[in-house]
Amino acid sequence: MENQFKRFWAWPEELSQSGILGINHRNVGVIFEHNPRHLYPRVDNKLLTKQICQAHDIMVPETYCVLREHSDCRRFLQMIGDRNELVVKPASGAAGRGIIVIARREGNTFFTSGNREILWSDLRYHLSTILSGLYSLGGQLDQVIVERRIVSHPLLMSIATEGTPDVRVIVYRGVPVMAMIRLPTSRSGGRANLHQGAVAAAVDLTTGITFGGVCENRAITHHPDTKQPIAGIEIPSWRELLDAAMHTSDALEMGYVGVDFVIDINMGPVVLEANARPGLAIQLAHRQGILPRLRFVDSLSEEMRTGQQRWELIPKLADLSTSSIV
Amino acid sequence: MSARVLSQLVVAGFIILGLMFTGIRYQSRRESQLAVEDSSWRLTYSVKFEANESLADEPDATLRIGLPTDRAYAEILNEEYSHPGLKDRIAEYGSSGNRELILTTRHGDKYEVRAEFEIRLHPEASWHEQQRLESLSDGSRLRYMRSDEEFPVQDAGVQKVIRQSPKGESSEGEILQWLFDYCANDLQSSTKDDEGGADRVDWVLANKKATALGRARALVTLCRVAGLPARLVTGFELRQIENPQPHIWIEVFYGHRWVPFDPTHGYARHMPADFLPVRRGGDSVVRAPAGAKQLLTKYSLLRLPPEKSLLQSQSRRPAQIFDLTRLPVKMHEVMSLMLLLPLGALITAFFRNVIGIRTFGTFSPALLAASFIYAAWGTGIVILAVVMIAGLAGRFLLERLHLLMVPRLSIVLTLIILCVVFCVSLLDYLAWTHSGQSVLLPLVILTILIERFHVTAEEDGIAFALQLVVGTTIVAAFCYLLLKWDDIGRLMLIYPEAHFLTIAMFIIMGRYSGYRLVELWRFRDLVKPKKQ
Repeated sequence: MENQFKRFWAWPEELSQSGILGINHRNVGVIFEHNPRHLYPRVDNKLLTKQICQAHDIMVPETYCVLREHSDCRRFLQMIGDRNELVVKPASGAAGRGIIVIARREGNTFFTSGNREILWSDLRYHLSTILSGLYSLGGQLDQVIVERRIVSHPLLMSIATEGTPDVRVIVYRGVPVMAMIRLPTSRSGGRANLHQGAVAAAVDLTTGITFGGVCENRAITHHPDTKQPIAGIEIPSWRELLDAAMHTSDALEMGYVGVDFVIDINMGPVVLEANARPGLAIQLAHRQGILPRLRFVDSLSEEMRTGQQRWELIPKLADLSTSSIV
Repeated sequence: MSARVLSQLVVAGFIILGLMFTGIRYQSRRESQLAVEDSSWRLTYSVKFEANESLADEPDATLRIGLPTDRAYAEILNEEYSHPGLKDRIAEYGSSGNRELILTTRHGDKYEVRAEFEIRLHPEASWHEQQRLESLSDGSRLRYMRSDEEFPVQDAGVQKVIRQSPKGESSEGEILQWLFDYCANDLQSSTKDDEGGADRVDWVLANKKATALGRARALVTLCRVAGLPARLVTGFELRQIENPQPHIWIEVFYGHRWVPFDPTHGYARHMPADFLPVRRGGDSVVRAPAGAKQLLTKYSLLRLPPEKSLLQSQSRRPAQIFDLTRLPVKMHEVMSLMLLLPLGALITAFFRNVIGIRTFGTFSPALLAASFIYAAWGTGIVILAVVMIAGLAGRFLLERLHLLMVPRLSIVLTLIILCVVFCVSLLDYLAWTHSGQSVLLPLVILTILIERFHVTAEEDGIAFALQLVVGTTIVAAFCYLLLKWDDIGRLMLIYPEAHFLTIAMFIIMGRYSGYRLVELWRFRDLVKPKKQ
């Protein structure tokens, strides 16, 4: 045990014995196998994701309007009417880039959730850069989604300072295998992206209670800004969230997908986006590898990992983890 | 078929294709190279003699003509003999490697013998010849250690020289070198009719003057005294001269092989391939019995033209399209640089997928490195730094103008071009550039890099952007080292099909699902403690 904290290095055999999924294995062995290329637009284009979710009665933030042309920018103020709170995001953005959350508005001056002032001219410029594809994968022309701002559940807000905490569920061949909650920090600039310094805590699949915790690839127990403990939080409406995750994965027809939720104070779990190449830091939050769970799902027959049967698997999957928590 | 099996098959296919095409080209290049180095010769003996009695009476009473033997470096393509009225027999002696044409007759008469050989020399193979090891039988050892009139081991002059030679700790090789130096340097040259003794060992050592034969005999004698079996070798130097004469050198047996020494020309331990031995252990090509009178031997040597295919190899034909070295030399540099770029990409792929270093873009490190190849890299870095700073400053100012992306990028590109142009002009004004070579930076790539740096810094923080800059620089540095390697560039120009192997490596790397090096660090905390 003491040895474990001194080491700077793990041997490949040690990692594979611990069931750690590496990025190459994820790309070659999991994503190529289970995520057909032609379905990628379903997750890469958030507008499409939203439409698919709506068609399957999965909760998503209400869309106010979509900007498709540069000329739409001029009509933006007209389109949003007198709404004071809204989110502007690129339809094909990745890792939360280009998203502006407007929490307050004074005439034509907008304020972000972090209380940064944005003049209308700045916002219009931002809209046009999104449209010209600055944030899109590969730089193609993009669209702007203007949608309802989710007011996060107060329980979750109490641990994070700014930004919106989100819950990511990894769904493998229809079965939720791992989940974590991501809490923005001042370092991450209010975004819930781990590589920018956000904090993550693992979520127990059966109970929806957090445990573990990671920040910048190192194990932590308390939120660096609020000093609140990050373990032991019960995610509200956990069962609904898992149900929505399974349905989203079914609707997207992707075999390995990370579904991101925010928990709205009124609507409950809402799907923000789905990711066909979810990161591997979730293993760090769990302090455990994901491979044993993937192998467990692989060992199941099709009937066992579809429909309502899946609920029976969840305690078993969670058990795979508790046996090895340090 | 699963992707894994399929890619294994494809990898195997590409490796086979790569090896096969490279091998074929190597072989054909080697053949044409050898064909240039090789030379063909016609060696003619013409022997006239008069036999006044039967040459068949006793075994010694025969005319023996030393013949060249087939060796790795000297191929006898053709041989023809004409000897009207004489009975012939060819004898080969395994122990000495000699081959003789033995002629006998029962009638006293005038005879004429002609022998003609077509010989092809492969200078490249002479080295292999030298590596042939053998053991000396007791009989041969006695023979080549013998003391006789020709090699008077007991002669006072010989013993005197031996007394001067280094003693004690000296190895065989050192003693041999000393004896060789003595015979090659300390003896003056002499012509045959010089007082009649320049061929004899005792006279040679007493007067310090020797003919080629005298020198060779002296060295053989001295070697035998020093305990090394030695023998004379008679042969021809294949070059086109009027009235060529046999040349005499020696061979000493040490280190399990016969090692040649030529005290006349100064060759030691190795003879050039154009020296063709025809008799070992003797000093004449033709050995005539006492019964032969008026023996007259004449030799001639003629260089033959090479094969037609060699002369026609430069002629225009479609297969030349695959020979890139045929292109004008000016284009070689650019062509080989292009051919090296896939290897640069291979390095980038290795750093990204196996080590896990992140870079801006996929090909920018290799392309950045390529741009430094033509520039002196010191001035290149200065210009790059200026361009980067100017570009970033320009990009920062442009941010406030709220321009659309394409015009914004174009302004940065224009700024960069102006910077490069004036930097080059400034360096020239200060006379810093050595050759006036301009810096060929990939301007568009730089523009995009600057834009990406700016966006990354804005979006993900300056620390992350700098991390990418460092990663890009490291990978570009390795690419530069590779691209700068002229030998590799030349090899790729000659063997572009080696890129089949590169493709195979890309596939292997593309199917690599092991951990990246950085993951060994990243996930180090997740290793389960070993169960006791």
